[in-house]
Amino acid sequence: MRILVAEDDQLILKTLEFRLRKDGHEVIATQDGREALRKIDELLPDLVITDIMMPFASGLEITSAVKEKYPDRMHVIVISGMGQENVVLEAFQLGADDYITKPFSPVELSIRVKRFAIPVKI
Amino acid sequence: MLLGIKFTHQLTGHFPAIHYLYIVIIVCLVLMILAIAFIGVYISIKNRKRKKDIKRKNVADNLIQRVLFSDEEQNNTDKPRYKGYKLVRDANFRRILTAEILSARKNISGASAERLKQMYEELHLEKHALLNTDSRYWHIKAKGLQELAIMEMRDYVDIIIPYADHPNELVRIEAQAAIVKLQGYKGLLFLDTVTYPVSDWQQIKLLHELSNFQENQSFVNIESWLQSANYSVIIFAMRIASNNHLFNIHDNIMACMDHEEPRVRLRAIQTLNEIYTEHTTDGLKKRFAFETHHNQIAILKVLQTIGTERDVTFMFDYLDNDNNELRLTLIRTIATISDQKLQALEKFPRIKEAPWAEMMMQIKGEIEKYELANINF
Repeated sequence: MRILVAEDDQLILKTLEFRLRKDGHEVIATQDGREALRKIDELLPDLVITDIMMPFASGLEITSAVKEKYPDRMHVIVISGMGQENVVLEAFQLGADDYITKPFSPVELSIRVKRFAIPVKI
Repeated sequence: MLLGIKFTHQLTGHFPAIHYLYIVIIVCLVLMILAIAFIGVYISIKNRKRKKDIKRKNVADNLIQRVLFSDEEQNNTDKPRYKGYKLVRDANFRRILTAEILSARKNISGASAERLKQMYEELHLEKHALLNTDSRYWHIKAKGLQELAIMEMRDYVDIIIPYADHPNELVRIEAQAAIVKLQGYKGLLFLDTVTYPVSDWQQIKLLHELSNFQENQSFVNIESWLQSANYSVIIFAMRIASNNHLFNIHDNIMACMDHEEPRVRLRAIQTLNEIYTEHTTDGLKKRFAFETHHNQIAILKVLQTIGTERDVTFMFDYLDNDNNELRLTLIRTIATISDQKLQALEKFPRIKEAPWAEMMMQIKGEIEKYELANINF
């Protein structure tokens, strides 16, 4: 599966990248929300994992853009901080498929990603 | 040029003003050149340091990443740690590695986080955090305490406890939060000795930390906290009682209604709303006359929840007072708890006069709106 990961913390981004590659996925990593939006259009990933708090374009903006342009093609998992329940709710209203709260276990994320490995409608 | 100035000076015997200007310009130029050179050197040193820090950060990130997934890379289990031992001797690398470990610990949980903690201990980074707690600068002290809490260094709680009553507020805040994070309710024992006020914000923060501890907790010391000389400790104990619905200390909370500090009495009123018994309303009514307006309104709000018809009569005695907010709250409370609703107020002789009549209208509107909302629901 081709996965785009948008996370501003370099270490977390590298960790996610490492974990997902280990699971056999193709990973596109970015630390910038605007670049994430550009890469989504360019590389058409199957799944987008995005942090809520991102520079230039937030995780909510990314979710909204993905669900508007590719509602049946791409899934979105949002990563939120503790106490951001309202933002997560907003992300779900925008069409997010799942969420994970920081601190999170990379193994748990890996399991959640596997749920979306089933081929989606194109 | 200087020679020229000197020559002119020798010929004429005096020093023209224009020559002073030349000297000033020359001095300024020299100073400017020196300043530019200084800035250049400073920027170059800064850049070199920044580049080195980026390199250190990359090395630290790689090290952490390999430790996070060390169970999956069997062959590399010992290698990154060995590399870490050598690198942490460099104070700059240690600073960056610690910051990265703390950041990762905040974002990652589960087995990976445990491995991170193991790495932190193996590299003896906690010793440096402990050294920081000894620093004479409060911000370094606070940072050290925070670090020990994030990395869950439970063995060092005894070292942290004395800082819970430190004269510096920020050190105190970090120490109290660290103790509660590491020990849960047991950590609240610092309340026995704390002499400085525990701010409202800090109390909320501590309650939030406590909410992470789900297991059954004993509240053995709560009665002594309710008698503390530190009024903020009493307030905090009441917040705990309220959050955990500790009905067994109802009478102790009621006794706090006799405390000299109005804020303690206010919190007692609010707590009684959560753990009331059949005697609560009588206790509140008995103290009503001696309370501040603010606390009287708080009592009335509690009565709106727990009061009954038999509590209405006493309220008529206070309807004829000068405070409009109190009058309005009294009318609202009577209308809420009386079986006769607003009609009960007709017994009050001045109810048709201003401002009581207007207040009646307002409450009537509120009741209609409430009833309408309930019908719709």
